[in-house]
Amino acid sequence: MTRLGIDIGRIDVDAALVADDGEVVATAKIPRFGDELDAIDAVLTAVLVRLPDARIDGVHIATDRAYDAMAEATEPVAVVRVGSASSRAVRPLFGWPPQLRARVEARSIIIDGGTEIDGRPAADLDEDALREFLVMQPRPAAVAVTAVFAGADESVEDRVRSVVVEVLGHGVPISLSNEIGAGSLLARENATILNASLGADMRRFISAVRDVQAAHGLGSSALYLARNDGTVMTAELAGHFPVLTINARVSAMLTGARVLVDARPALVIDMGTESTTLGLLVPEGARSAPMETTAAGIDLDARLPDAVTMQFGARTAVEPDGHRLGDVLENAADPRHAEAHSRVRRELAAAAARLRNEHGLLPVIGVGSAAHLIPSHIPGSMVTVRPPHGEVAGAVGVACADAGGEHERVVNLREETRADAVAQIEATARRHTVRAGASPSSVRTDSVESAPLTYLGVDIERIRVRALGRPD
Amino acid sequence: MTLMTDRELRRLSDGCSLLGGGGGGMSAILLAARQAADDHGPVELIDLDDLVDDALVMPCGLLGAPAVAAEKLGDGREGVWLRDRVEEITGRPVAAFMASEVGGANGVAPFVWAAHAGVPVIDADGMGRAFPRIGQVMMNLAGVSPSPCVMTDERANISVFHPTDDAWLDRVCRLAAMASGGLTATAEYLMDAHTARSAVLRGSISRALRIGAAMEDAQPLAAVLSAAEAVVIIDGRISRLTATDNRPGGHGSITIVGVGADDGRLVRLEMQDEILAVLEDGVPLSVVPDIITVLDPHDLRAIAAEDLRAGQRVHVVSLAADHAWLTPEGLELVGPQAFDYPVRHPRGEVTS
Repeated sequence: MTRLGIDIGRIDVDAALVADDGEVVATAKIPRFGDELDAIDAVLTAVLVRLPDARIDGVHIATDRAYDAMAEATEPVAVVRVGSASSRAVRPLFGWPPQLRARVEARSIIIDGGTEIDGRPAADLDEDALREFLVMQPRPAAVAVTAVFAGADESVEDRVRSVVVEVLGHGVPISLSNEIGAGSLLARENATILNASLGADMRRFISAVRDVQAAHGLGSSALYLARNDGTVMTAELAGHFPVLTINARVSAMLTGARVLVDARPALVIDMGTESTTLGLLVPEGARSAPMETTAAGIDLDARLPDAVTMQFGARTAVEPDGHRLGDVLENAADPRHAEAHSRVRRELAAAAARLRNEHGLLPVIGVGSAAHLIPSHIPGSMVTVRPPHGEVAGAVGVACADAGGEHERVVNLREETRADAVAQIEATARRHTVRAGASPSSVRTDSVESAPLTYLGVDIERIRVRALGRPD
Repeated sequence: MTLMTDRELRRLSDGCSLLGGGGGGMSAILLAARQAADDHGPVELIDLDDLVDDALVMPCGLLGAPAVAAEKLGDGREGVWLRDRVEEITGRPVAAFMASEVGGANGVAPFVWAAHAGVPVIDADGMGRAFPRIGQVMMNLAGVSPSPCVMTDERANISVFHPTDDAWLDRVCRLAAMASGGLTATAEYLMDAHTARSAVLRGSISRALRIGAAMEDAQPLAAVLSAAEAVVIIDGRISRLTATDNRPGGHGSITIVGVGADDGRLVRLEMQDEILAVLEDGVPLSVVPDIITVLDPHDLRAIAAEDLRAGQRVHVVSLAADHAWLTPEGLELVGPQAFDYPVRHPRGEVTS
């Protein structure tokens, strides 16, 4: 199986054709003109002109499409929160940037229902209020559903979904919070709302990508999109979960660095034309951020990678006389650049320290179009390694990524044994992995994590299982 | 009198987070306070001297599990229900709310409820920081009775307890809080303003506001330290987190290795919900009731205990305990031995 990874940056579009054994067969880097579709079209042309007979089994794309769409291509969502008494103190979308909120929120309601942390029902689901809300005009483009403690009992959100389908038919897409994340209520709800709002744009985008693929004779190649957690999922699934792609390019870059250099833990620096991103590779792969991260001014539970992006790259002016970072770093020995040079090294070192790496001295993997400019010695780090194909690390990473799935649940150990709960959660995680496009025979359990919930004794645990498999 | 507008509430939240010594859940409670101020107008922060002697002060706060608070944000009117029941029991109007505990989310919660109830909040609290038990308050030392204690959950399931002392107060309230789903609001140690003047820690809220203001706009560490009257214990990196399982609460220890000027040093933080002691070579550098807080060197915000991770760069800072806690009685209630640490507070009196 040969996979073509495409990494759609703002300045460049990169491609990497990677064989099943990990060999990078060909790469391309072309300047980006036009929108994402033009970019895909152009890079496919560039690859296929050189390798007209290449067999491409899968096209894997890493794109900021969903993130960019937050600025304009959102749709008004009907927001349903279940659990009125226990959550009324903060209404849905309170504190969002006003313009984003105005575009994303059609209307919101908090209705009775939901569960307690141990899975006991807190109140009966107020289906009458729900139906009344759903039939209001205008008809919503999508519905976002978040129930209090959805992680302890998914059936509440499932029941809401059935009512929405009953009232609005199958034509209105529904996002459920338990399928998006397992973080705290507001961060999970925010991610669910954004997901619902971005779905239509993502599905249009995917359909257009398939047309571009077909025009290049790649109509039968499977299409996958990069996820925030460093895995990929089928394009069809991405159409349902666009919020899980909003920062996926960084994770694809980190996966690429991992594939290109076998060194973990390691610090990864991706220096491009206008920005520089730092991330950390831990033994398990790219480290993810704490459960909740801020994006676009709101708390978001969307499995984002832990990374620091700095707004300077090779072409950024860094000296008053207009000298660019590239000049400064290329002529580091020039005393006229000494001050700027040491400032850049200091800033990189400070950003590296912010990533809170676990070991004092880490190797640095330098990638990106300006990898050659990354200083060889960053204070506090080991020497910088610049692997072959590092200039297209994101494309290599998305081409090599596994399909991933996970499941997480709050388990009341008085109601079920730990072993039974883990087995059930693991089975669901593996099913999600197959749904993300993994071939069933290749699915393996990657990690089982559990944490007792503090202040509550030892009866309730949060259990999370992650599984991986090779894209089919 | 200060009006607690959006800006003040953000500062309060940052300040309370530092004073909390590892307490979390600030993001949701801040949103709740901002929404309540939006809906009902900003709460007035008043001085205790603004109240006449016989005015009734209602200390209040949240009691429960942080894991539950992350999911259940509450109704917002809990303080109204507490106030109504307190007035019914005492036959007197509640003149003002007071934070039982300024540290963590409980320093902000009274402002959510006061907005709904239309009452002011006094610039004071019962702890000057965060403690795990309800009765670890100055009012207890001053002989104010914990009875009656009124508790409500988010559905206005209201209970009234008449505990015989602070230990029973904690035991019965915690059990009731679990029955309610793990999170409740309580009011106890009711007192008149005259009593309060010598039974509470005054200026706690303005102290949190000053600290929060110093954290704004990426001010240097020195500015935050000066506002908080804090000293850096170590500049380092977390090397190990050890949880003591099978006990309720976030019990465990955190090992930190020094970095830079502190290279070669090794300290250990001891936690029981809050960080209660920091030791180097077995010698306590700072112990409860001092406030020990971990700051993120990048933005100088306090890091909640549940967000601490191995590898993290941190500043560990210590704020000297209020003198009122350093009496023999104070240390018996909240000193190291109250938490089973066989050490003495460096500035403390002999504690048996």
